[in-house]
Amino acid sequence: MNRYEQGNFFLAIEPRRCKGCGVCVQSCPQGVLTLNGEGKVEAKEIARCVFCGLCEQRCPDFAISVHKERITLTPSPSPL
Amino acid sequence: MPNTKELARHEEVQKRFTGAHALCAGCGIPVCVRTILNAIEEPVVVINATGCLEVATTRYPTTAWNIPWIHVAFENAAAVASGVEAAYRALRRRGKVSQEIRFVAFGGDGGTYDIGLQALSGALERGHRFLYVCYDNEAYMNTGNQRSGATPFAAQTSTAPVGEKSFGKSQRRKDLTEIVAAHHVPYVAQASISDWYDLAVKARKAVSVDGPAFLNVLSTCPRGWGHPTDQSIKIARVGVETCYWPLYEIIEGRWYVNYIPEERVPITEWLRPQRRFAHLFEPGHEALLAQIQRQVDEDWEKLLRKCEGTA
Repeated sequence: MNRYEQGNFFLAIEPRRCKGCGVCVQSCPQGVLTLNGEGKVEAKEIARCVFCGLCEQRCPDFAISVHKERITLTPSPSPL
Repeated sequence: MPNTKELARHEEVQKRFTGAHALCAGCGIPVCVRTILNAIEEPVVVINATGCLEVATTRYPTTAWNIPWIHVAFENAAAVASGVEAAYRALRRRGKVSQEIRFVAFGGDGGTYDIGLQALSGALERGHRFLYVCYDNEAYMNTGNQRSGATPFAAQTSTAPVGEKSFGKSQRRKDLTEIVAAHHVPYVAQASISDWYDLAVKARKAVSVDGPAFLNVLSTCPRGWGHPTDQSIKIARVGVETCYWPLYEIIEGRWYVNYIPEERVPITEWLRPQRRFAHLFEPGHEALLAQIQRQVDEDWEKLLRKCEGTA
């Protein structure tokens, strides 16, 4: 689980779930996300993120989620 | 009208469609299904035709559906939806169910344009209150890219191959949205996975009408169309920008166009990234390209004429 923080919010990305389809990358209005060399999603410029939640809404594999700090996050129980 | 936070809240209350399905990377179907299910506020029952969505989300013994879900056969998703809806109305009449429940049928273009058309036509004509969503990836992708009624002109498929005597499918695709509109149903719309807000609004409008509703959603298929998996949304977007796949809706027989591009993109931009159209860019096929552009222009002009006075 990768965590990208900005202020009170953070983006959580579960690389094991990511298939690298780039739906979030193409949907992001701020150009925050990118695919890395392994074809997994990464938050390249988290400072520009407005936490609209569109990536979370669009992800076909539930790999990316937007959270408020107060919510504690536990890794998903099964890998896939 | 829905925004992303509202859609996310619906998902927090009830995650209707979950991950760990076997749909390919870059597939447009889960994007379409998630957006539609999250846009609907009432409890939902899903009826599924055979197709990629059914096969990939219900691999024995797992399922990706967290809500009541039924699948019977390829051709009868709309007929099953009619039965489920009729049973629900009967139970409501007797006071055994008090909840408002919505019925959503998902079918691919093979199960809607070709195999399920008769069942769909019957259900629309009888006026059952349900939403039929056709995710249109323009061929029988589940069984290996065979041509369907939705495959566009000159596209290469495994049963319409390209060779010396053939340039792919030699017929035009049928216009299912207009076929459905001819049933005089209260709500018919065409949407694309690239425009999530438009899709969510249309899903909500569709379930709010008292009667059948139909959504035709352009859904990309990287395996069958032969484009990079990380370009799905962009390619669907180009489909809308070229007016190959116009976004419009028909409410009570009145036509509304939802998006008019400021400057129309030439159709080659839509064809070029897809391997199924690669042969069109070889020398000798210029006439075909011109013919495709002419068809798109004609269809767009026709659509604008129908929408006159309502836009």
